[in-house]
Amino acid sequence: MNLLEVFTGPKQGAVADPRIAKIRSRLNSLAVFFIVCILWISLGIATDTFATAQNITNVLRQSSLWSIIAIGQTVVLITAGIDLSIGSVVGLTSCIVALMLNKGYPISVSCVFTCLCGLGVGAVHAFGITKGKLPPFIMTLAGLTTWFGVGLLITGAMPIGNLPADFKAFSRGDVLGIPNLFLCVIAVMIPTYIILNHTRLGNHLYAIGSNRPGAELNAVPVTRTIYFAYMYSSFLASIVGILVAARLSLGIASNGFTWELQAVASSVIGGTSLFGAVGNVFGPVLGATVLSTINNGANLLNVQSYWQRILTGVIIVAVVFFDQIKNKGTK
Amino acid sequence: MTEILKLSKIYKSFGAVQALIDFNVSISAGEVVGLMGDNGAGKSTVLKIVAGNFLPTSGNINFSNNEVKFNNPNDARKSGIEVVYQDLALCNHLTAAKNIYLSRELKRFGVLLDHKKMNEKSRILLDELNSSARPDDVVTGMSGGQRQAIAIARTRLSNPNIVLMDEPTAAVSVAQVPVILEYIKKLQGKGIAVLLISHRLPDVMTVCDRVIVMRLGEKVCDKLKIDCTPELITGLITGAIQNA
Repeated sequence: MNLLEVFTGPKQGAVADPRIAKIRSRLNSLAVFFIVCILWISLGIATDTFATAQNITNVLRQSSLWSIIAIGQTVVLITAGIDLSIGSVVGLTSCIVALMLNKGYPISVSCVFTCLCGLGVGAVHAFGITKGKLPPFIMTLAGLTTWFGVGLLITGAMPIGNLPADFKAFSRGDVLGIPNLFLCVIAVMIPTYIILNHTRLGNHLYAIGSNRPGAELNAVPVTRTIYFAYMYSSFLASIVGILVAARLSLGIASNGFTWELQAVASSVIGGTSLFGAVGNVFGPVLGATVLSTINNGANLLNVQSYWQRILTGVIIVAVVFFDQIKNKGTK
Repeated sequence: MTEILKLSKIYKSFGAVQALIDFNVSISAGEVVGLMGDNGAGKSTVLKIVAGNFLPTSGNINFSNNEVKFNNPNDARKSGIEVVYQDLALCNHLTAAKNIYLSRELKRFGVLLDHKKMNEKSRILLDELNSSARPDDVVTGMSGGQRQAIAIARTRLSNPNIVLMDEPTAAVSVAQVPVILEYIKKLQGKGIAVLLISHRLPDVMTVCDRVIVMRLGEKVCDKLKIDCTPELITGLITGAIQNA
């Protein structure tokens, strides 16, 4: 084993040592963790307010919402698909839950119905992709505008407020100092980790992303697996829709506006490949933490918000560029 | 010998292209049949129809004396048909063990993957094929021979009635060719039929009992190996000899 290959990669044309490849993959995952640490230490030194309990809680709250949708996006990206509708689904479901609560339905009923709507949205996407043979990009891009439109339609483009105090309290509360929203991330991470790493379904998600025709030849239930990926992504988006409605105390179709980009960015920063078959549950959470730290830090340093958007765009391009180089020869 | 597989009057078209025309074949248990032909002759189409990847446009498939219709690869697999595809159908990002057990994963507690058992059993299967591939290594970066061994190891997971092999020796090293041919003979010894698609005449002449030659979607020869010469087969493949 040539340890130099850990840093340089295999020589051109040479067969990669699988042990080296494994170490390189682990280091890639750790790299994002180190980036988070460096950002936090640097901002802690550069500002007086970053390293305060209240600010860290704010960063965790913001990153929590993005983490959950990014986990859903990761599951879809692993199948070599993409879900561009996430932001609109967040907006739509925040409207649905707010409307139901407004009409006096119990919190539990409203939340369950909203999640079912999320699952339904995912099923529509999966139907278009598997039966209609539409590219995931087109199907979910259509979803982005459609679900936003549905959200505007059912609310008359008005914000729906006057939500019960118990509902609002959840997203602002904490347990032993840990924000409830971050506990939700953990609650989503655990089953997703088990699904991806320890179930047949998870194995099939990676197989489809790696070689879909090959997976079909090996009797992998491709259609069923793709249904799961898109329904899971929309389901998680609906959970975020509920949480964001609780956090902002209102449901409005523009909740989650452009969050699909945050989800994609968090996912790819966390090491998920846009080419499929590469990704884990920790990456998107770390990626979302990087993005929310950048946003928070930029605010504290009085950097104009336009720069935050530009920086996010540059990061996405850089990460995907390196991913493309890394993927040459593995497909 | 008991007839295992019988294809009768099989036609297959892809749009305007007629890939198979009135194709008939019968294969018995423990028989090794070589299927030869030039590129585009229809060999892989035959394999994919038997493997459940394609439905024939018309014609009948009899398997163990029952008329069957394979709508997908799982139907064929359940009937006892195992396949080694030409492109191997491997997922580069999965480990060797996960590729071997793809869609037949071993589970514990009814839900969770049994990684340990899959790795252990894969190790045994790969050892039997003299492969140096390690079960818990991802397939990316493996040599052609290691990849071929993984694809062949899949056929060992069940007790098949017939194994279909599409160019199993095309991408392996010279040293590994005899191992694969020996494996085919072992299958034959267990009474398992093999349909071997190959461009390599020496391989076909070494292990097959019977040779079928196809040209432009039609069967032009179906003879016992002892009645065939390399010149005859080459002539039939190229079209220098029309029929035999």
